[in-house]
Amino acid sequence: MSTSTRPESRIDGSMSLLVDMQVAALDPSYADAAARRAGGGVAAASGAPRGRRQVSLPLIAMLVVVGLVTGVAVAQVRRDADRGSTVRTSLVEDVRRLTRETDLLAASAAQGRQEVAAVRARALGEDAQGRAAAEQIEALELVTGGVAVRGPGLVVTLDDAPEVAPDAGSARGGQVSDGRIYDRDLQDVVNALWLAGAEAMTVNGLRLTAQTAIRSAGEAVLVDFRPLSPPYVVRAVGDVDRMEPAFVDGPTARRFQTWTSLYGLGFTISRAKDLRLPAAAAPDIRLARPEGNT
Amino acid sequence: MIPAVALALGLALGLVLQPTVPEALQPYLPIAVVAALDAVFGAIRAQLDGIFDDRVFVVSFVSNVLVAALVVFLGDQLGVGGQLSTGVVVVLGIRIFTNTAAIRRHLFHA
Repeated sequence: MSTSTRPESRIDGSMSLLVDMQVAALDPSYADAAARRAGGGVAAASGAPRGRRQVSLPLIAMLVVVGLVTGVAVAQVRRDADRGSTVRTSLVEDVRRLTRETDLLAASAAQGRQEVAAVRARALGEDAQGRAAAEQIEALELVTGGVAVRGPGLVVTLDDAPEVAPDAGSARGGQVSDGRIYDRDLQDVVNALWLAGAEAMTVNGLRLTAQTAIRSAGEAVLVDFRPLSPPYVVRAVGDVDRMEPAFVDGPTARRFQTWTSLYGLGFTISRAKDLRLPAAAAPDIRLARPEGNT
Repeated sequence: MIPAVALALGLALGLVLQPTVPEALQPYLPIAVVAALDAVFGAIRAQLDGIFDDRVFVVSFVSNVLVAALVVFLGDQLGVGGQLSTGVVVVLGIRIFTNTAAIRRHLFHA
């Protein structure tokens, strides 16, 4: 930019940026050029009238370029936005498809396990030793969650407080309370139920085994690495007459009852005559490989 | 009239043809557009002031775009590209506003 039209330097020279932007909004070289034309420009003055002369070829070309750049930029931004939403849609689609595939595979795995069990039962049913082994397997499968089970039991329902109280403070055993159920709460309840004599358990329909993790990621509670949302329904099969008093009088249930009255957490216990719990997903095989494979 | 037609023609060309911009130049495109708009509004104001000069317009347009792109490029190299882009947009935006205000005064005498 030309500095020839600038007045002599000001005291607040370094502070004048904003003033300069206002004053010199029009490129000063326009004024310079006009002054040059007016001063020495006999040629310019004697030429065509100003309005005519100004629509020159480079000017038009330049304006086309300006329009072109603007149009290209607009098109580019639109295309990018399209691409972003396309990517998101396709990712959502991928997630849905893979979830469906997982469900199908899980169903076929369950069916395969059933077939294996049937074949095994037939094979083992032939002699006394086999029958003993079959019984042992059955007992172990019950404990490890390998088979679907049914029986009487308790249903414990946990839910977030309907209104998250911001001033609830950190009264909940050192844990910041915002009226939510956390992984730790769910762990407490599940462990208390095991302690009370539960034999098999599910959380929101997911069977718990010795390897099932109850964790949290962000604000979601994960059971067996699947995100669950409240309410959390824990179904526990076991001897109800022994389990219920043991659980209700245990420290965990009492603590939850306090929280229910203090913070409005949802916590209900009910008996059920006939609970049906699905089998757990087959345990992950991490290191073992069939012999012969590398 | 003719300049407006030329501008519209360029706009239509850009929107219809949608030429692919090289990946490396994409960050500078919006900045270039703002710089170009600044030059255009400056030109309109100069026209109304009666001091328009096409050579000055061409030079100011090209230098505007180049300097804006250079500043953003430097910012990218220094890791402050986003902030410098904002700075360029703010400065050019203020100029565009000032010039439009002057144009408005010319046209409506208000």
